[in-house]
Amino acid sequence: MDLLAQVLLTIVYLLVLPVRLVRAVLGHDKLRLRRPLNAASYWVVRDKEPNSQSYFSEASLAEGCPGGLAVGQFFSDRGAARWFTPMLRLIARLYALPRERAADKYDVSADRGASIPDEVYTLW
Amino acid sequence: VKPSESTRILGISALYHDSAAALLVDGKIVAAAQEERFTRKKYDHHFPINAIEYCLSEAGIRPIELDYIGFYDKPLAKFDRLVETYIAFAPQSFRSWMKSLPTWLKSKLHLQREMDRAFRNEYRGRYIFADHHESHAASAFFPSPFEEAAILTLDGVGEWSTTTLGYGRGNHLRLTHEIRFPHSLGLLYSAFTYYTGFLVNSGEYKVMGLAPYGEPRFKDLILQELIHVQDDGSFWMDMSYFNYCQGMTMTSEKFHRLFGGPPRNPESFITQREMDLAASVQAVCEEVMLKCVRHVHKLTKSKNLVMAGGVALNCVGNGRILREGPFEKIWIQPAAGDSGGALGVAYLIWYHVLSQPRVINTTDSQQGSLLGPEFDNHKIRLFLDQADASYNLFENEDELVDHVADLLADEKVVGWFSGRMEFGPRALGARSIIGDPRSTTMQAKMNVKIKFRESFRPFAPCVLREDAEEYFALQNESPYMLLVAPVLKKHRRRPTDEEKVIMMDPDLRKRVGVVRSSIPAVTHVDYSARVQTVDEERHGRFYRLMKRFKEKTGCPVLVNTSFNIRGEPIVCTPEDAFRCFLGTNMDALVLGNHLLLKEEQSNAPAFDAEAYKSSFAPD
Repeated sequence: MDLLAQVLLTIVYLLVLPVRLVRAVLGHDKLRLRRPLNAASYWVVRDKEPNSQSYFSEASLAEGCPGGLAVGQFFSDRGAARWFTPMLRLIARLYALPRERAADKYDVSADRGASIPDEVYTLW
Repeated sequence: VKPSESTRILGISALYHDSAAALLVDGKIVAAAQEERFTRKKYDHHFPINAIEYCLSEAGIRPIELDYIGFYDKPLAKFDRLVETYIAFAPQSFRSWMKSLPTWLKSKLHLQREMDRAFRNEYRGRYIFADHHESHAASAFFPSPFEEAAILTLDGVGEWSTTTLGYGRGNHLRLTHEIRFPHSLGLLYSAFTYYTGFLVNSGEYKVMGLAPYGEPRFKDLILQELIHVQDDGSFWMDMSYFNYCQGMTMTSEKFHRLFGGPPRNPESFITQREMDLAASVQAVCEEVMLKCVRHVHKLTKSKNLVMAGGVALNCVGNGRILREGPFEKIWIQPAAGDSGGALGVAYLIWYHVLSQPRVINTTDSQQGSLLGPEFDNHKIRLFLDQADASYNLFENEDELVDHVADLLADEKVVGWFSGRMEFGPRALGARSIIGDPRSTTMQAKMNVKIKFRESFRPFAPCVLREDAEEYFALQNESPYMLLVAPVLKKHRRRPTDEEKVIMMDPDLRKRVGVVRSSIPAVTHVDYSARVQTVDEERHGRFYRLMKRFKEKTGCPVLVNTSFNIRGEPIVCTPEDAFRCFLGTNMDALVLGNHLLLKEEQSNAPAFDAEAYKSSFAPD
């Protein structure tokens, strides 16, 4: 990864830190890291069903849509990723390759580093 | 959206684990294959360009002739989960952030562009994306033989979901409940796979195979400290014991302290502790699976259950669900892991996007999962002549199976390459290594001299469907080798006092040698077996071979293991099979109608078996 991307990713991460702090103070826990003590069940109801249009989107209707931040949601428990994903997608534009491929043989434009173990790569 | 006269849909799963492609034409599966079979890299995660090319060639079409292309998950939802996790675990997540995001910036956030490049801009339609677990659910429900069924999907993680419940009827399915990341039964199992010194995403089978050697003495500790399970099968995990959200390993120091030490070094001696850990996590997994199926039964009242997701490959758990669960019938997608997602998204396009009526096949629509490349006798002969191989050509199938049955009865190990390659992780009689299960030395021989793998690992039996109940306590057919069933008591052999002592020996190789039944090569230490039932409709020639073997020996069972060595994907082409034949101690090889005997191969002594073995990293 080039230096520019590393710098940009570091800057975004530095912005993540205070957000993390504020959310911790406010007790927000989107990942349910604290055990819900009185819960009789941990099932989450999927109240939205994909429709024929949502299948054309890379975002998920059923599992939460990262489409950007609505007013008042920043400090809500709906998650803070929606604030950072647009930034990261903007950075990603710098690296978008042309749709045409030059070589006869297709090869993916980026791959995982050799030092990344399979167990964590499959989560990414 | 209206389908054209003939609708061609390509499904793709890629970029994470076990990439694959599947092609539906007018709702029928025409081809499906995993990328690893072509690239010869096990669980290859790259964009499945070779599998796609194969699928298109099977239908004789080019990308421009495709009506729809579907991807098996939703990249932006997954990205949302990833970033949310890094925020929740800041600042410890910094290293992982810097490692993972470059791939997203360069590739995964440009998926449509990547696909355009892969298809050379020849595909003119729009791309379709389905939720990961919906793809799993579709791969389980739509090809199943059921008009309606409860649905359970369990795996590591997709976008946010790790486990889902739902219901399908006709041409529609709906997932109604989910457990969300980071709480994941699949990842709990993988954490123990890692901790017991096996590779995650491939070693889970080994943990399952190791479990019967141990006692589940850590089960209560796991349930007390790591995972809290409700009566309805839902669960919550204490993430302070794990490191996969923020780090580069599965387990944390706290986990290691809890279980009394660091993870086992891969390839080091397996102790009783690892066996007990395996038994414990297996017991927890089965308990959660059983509770989940009881809950989904309560919600749906269906008699039928379909399952998919990596955890659905846990055949021991599946066997218990069938025996102890509330469902009358279950059907599990043979490619239950991520590769099956390619098929699932293609089905979703056909049924959900295009609203096509569903045609139900009373056996199922998976066609025995024999959906990969096939090589005719002409191509095989060309290759064999080129390779200077010595072979006998049998024009008559009857003579061929008769000859091979004789070899098997003589305890020879045979590589069997016939028809279309399997889709999914199991060899089902198209790319199999087979042997006589009655032999007391067969398991050790196959493990050590042919597969070059750990000696404790059991082999699976295939049995003629009509004779299955004579040997195994199995109520359902099991054509995809996804159910474990006990060997019937009448076939078991009581161990002598001396053997009882051996069965406590810390060296697993000695334990494996104890003869436990009339089919010892396929009877695990707890008298269980991972059964494949073989029938003529699905398995054709393989069925007729088994039938002939039974006529000669009275035994309707064979050992059936995948045609590969440790770390190698299952063979795809005659070249792959011939190389594996020369590189191992296999006695004979059947390629279509050709029979090759090792002793007749003049080029066998010159073959560099060591180089062949070392070309595959141990899994």
